[in-house]
Amino acid sequence: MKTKHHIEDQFKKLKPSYKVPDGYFDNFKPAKAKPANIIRLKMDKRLWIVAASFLILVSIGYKIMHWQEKEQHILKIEQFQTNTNTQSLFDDLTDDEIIEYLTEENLSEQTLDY
Amino acid sequence: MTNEPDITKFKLMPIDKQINWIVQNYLQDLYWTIRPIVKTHENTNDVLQNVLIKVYQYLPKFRYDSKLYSWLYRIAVNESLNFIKKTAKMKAMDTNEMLMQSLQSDIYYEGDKILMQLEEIILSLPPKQQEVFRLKYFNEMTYEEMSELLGTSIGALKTSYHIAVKKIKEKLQHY
Repeated sequence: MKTKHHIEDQFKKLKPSYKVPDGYFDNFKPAKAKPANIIRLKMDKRLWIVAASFLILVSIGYKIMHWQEKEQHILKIEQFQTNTNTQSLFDDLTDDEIIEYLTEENLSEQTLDY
Repeated sequence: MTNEPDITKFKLMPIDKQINWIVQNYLQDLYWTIRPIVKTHENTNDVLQNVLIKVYQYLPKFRYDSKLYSWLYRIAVNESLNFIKKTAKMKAMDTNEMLMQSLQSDIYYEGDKILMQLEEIILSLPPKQQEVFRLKYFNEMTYEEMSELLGTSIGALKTSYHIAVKKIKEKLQHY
């Protein structure tokens, strides 16, 4: 078992042994000196802006197309419902029943363009 | 800790001269901020270059609300942490495992077995305690300097360091 003092002494000696190549700090050249890096950063930024704008435009276009399709679809459904309502109402009826219906509803054949 | 530039004169310098001034005055401080985080010399060099690119890019927008070195220090720490996260993800490894493996293979590291154990124990500490321990133990900063750099009270820093040391001692006993 190690004593408390032993560990503290040992601990004080535990300085890291990180070494640096000879002359590293004297010969260091910052990357900022290479214009390519800056151009790359600027290009990256521009590319992101172009890509984001493109995505926004595509999403707006898609929403407009989708909205138009939806509107047309609603119209078609309304038309279809109007047609089918009238048709189905009379298709299943005999001539007598149609006349009875018209009388009950106080309608004439001309009103319904029948 | 490092000296701050004369801000009025510094602001008027062209960006290239500002960078040169930073390299001349802060290069070693930045290097020794990054090295204990990313461990190897090669990785430190990569991160240091990334830091200087960031500085080149953002220095013209810097408002000098804080000290220049505090700002550089935050960039260096953030870049180092991002670097280790990205590298670990790329290698599909745990961050600490990746760092220990890098350290073992670094030709510019001469730590013995017990030093490796200390490195491993430090990595197991919470990030804030790691940072305080690194600054106090490896960079030999005073609490006053650390407080200025991190914007944390001296009392809080002393507590963090005390807890970190206690944990390290406990863990070293079990090795």
